Amino acid sequence: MVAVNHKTSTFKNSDYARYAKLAWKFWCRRNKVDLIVVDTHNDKYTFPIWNKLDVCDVGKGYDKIAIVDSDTMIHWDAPNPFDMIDTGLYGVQDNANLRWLNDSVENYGGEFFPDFKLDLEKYVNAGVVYLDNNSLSIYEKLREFYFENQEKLDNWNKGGGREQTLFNYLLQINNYDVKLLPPIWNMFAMHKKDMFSHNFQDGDDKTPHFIKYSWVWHYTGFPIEQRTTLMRKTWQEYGVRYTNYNGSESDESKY
Amino acid sequence: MVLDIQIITEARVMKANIKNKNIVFIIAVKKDGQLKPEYEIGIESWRRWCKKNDVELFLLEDPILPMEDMHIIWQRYFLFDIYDANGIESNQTLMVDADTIVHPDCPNFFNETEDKYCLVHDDGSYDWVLRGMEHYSKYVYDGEWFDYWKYGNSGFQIVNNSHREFFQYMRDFYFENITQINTIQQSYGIGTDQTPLNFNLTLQNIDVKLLPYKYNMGCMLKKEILGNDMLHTKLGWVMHFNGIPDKDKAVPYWMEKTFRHLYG
Repeated sequence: MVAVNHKTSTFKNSDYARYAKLAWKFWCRRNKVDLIVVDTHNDKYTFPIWNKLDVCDVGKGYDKIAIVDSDTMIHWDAPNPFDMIDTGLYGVQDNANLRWLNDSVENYGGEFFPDFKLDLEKYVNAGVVYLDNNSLSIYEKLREFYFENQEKLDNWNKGGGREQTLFNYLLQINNYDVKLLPPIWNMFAMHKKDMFSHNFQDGDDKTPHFIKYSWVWHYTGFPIEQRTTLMRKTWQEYGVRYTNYNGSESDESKY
Repeated sequence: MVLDIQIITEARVMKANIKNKNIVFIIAVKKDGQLKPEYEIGIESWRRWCKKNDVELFLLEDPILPMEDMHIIWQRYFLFDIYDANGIESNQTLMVDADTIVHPDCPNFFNETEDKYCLVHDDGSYDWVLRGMEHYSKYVYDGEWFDYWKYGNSGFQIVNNSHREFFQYMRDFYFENITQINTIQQSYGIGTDQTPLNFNLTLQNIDVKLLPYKYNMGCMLKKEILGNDMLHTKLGWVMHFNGIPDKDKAVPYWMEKTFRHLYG
C-alpha cells in the first residue's frame, strides 16, 4: 500500500489512509500476511501514485502479493484471497462508469497505443490487484513506460486517471494472464451500486450491503471530498470488530 | 399445473411452422388495443436484426392465461408449450424485453452461448438485487442463497430445448408459491420473475453462462453512457432502457432518439 502525504494531493492522504492501514494491519496480522506501507515519497516520481510501481522491487521476495490503494479497507472476517491465487494476475473488472472508461481508453490509447484494441471485458481496476511473483514484472514494465514518457504523463491533462488504463494496456499488450475476480474482492463505486444502502424493508438489521456482502471496500468513484468521512464512519461503526482479537491494537492514533 | 393446450392453441402468434431456426421471442401484449409506441420501436429494431441474421422474430401478442391469474412476464415460461402448439421447432431462443433496441451491427450472439442458459449480469443496483434476494430467501427459499455477482437480468435470456424441463419447473414454482410471490411483488417492489429465476437456476443446477454487458446494457444512466452524444450506441449491442427515472416520458424519448440515430 502506498500511503503518502504529498504537496500535489488535493486531500491529505493520511486523513483517510489511517483507516485503510488500521483495517489491513489487523487483517494481515490475523492471517499471517506481511503488510508493507510505503509512506515516504520517492522524488524520482512527480506524483505519489507512481510510488506503487516500486512494488516490483519491494515484492520480490514474496510468492503472492496484493497491491491495494490507501482508500481501501478489508472486512475483519475476510477470508484469505491468497488462497485462491494460483498463477497470473487477479483483479475485478471495472465497468462502473463506462463514459470515464471510454474516455480514458480513447485518450491514453490514442496517445500511446493507437494500433492496439483494448479488450474492455478484461479491463481491471488497478486499485486492488492480487498476483503471483512472476506477474510482478508488470509493474517493472509500467515503471519503464513511465520514465520513457515521464514528461507527458506528469503533464497529462486529458483526464482518464493516472496509471490504471496504462496498466491495463501493458497487461494486455504483454499477454499477462489476467483473471477476473468477483466484485467482493474490490467493491468500488459503492454509491453507484447502492452498496451503502441496507434492506430497509425487513426487520431491524441496518447493516449496509457492503459490510454484509463484500470483503474489500474501495472508497472511490464518488466525490473525493466524501472519502474521509465514509472511511471514518466505517471505522467508527465497525472498528471494534477488528479489535476483538487484539484489543491493544485499537489505538488508531498510532498512525 | 397442467397447461390447457387449447388456450395455447388460441394464442395469436406471428409465426408458425418454423423449423430448426433461432428465434427472438418478445412479449408484445397490447393494452387497450395498443402497444406502447416505444415497444413498437424496439420490436422494429429486432425485426431488422432478425432479417439480417436469418433469425425468426416471434411476437406473443395475446396472453396465454388471463393476466389476473399470471403476470404476463411470467407467461414467457410457456415458451416451449407455445412452440409445440404451433408446430415450431426452435434451435435457440432469445427471450428479450420490448424496451430494448438492438444495434444493426450486433453480432449473432447465438454463436456465443455454448448451448448454455445465457444471461447478462445485472449490477445496476445491488441494493435492489440484494433486497430481492433477501426477501425471497427468507419467505420462499428457506434461507437458500447464491452468489449475487452471478445474478442475471431476465430481460435477455437465451435458452434452448434442453431447458424445457426448467421452464416447466418455473411454472410449477409460480403456481405453488403464487401467494408468496404476489405478496413479495406487491410489498417490496422488487420485480417479477427475475429473482426467482436466478434462485431457481442456481438451485436446479442449470448451467448458466453470463454474457458480457454489451449484450444487455441495463441501467445505462448509472453507467453514464446515456446522453446526447449517443455514447450508448457506440459501446454495445443491445440497449436496455430500464432504470431510467421518469420512465413514461424518458423511455419513449430515448428509444425513439436511439432508433433514429441507428436506423435513420
